[in-house]
Amino acid sequence: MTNPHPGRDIGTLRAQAEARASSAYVTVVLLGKGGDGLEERRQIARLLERGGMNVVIPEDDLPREQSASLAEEEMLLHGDADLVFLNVDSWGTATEFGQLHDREPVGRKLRVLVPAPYHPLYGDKGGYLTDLYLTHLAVFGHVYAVGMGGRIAAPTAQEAVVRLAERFSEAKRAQRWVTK
Amino acid sequence: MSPELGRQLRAYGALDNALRLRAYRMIHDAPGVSFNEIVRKLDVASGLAAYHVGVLKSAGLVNVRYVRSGMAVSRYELTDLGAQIFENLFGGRRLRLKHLAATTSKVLA
Repeated sequence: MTNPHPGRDIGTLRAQAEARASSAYVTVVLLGKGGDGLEERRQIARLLERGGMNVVIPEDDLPREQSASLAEEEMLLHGDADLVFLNVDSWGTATEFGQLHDREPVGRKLRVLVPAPYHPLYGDKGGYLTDLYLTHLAVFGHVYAVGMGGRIAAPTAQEAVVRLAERFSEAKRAQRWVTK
Repeated sequence: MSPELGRQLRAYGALDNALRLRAYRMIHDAPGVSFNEIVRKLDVASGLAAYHVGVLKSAGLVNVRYVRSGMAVSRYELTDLGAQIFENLFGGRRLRLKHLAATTSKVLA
């Protein structure tokens, strides 16, 4: 197979694959806690990859000599990821949310997963971040209750991420959204 | 979606970006190239380069191995899938360049 203009033709090959798949190519970044949280993100990644998405998990995919916090800031501000899911399920991820929530280019891509009891609308506990969640929800939207508790039957983080990413991919293809 | 179609979508989606395509060609041309060398040649912030090679890795186009010499050094090479797609995309051009070089040699002789 010859290809004298690969840059142009890669776009064509991508468009052909998207047409056959009836969904658009999407890059997803999954942020969250380590340990069992990392294993949960890997499981979610496997599900999304079956749908033709590339999923970046910083702990697995970024080079080790790169400072994780610097890399995350650069990739979220200047990378071409479509969706960034942040599961706020530890002190570390709470800090990350505090750092990312008001960065305009990131805010639009950010999908915040909050334990149901602490969700600003559906929760029944409240916490030190609840007010910040409410601000983010009011300005950008995309603050989702997940897991047990609260005043609603919330989905698991895995269910929420997979449903949202799949629909985003279908909608992006249908509407030719450009999110970058 | 069939696994094959999923792989194609991920591969072509990943490569449909000028910086990632440059990194991919760099890794092809110099198997085992270090992350720092990729950053230097791409001339972008290291965090952004880390993201782009991360997407190539996620797409199954490149592998990374870590060599420890004082501090960890990430070295990148194409996977079998990455090499196969590279051949599909650029193989013809290389053959034509070889042909051109051969023709030029004949003319000069």
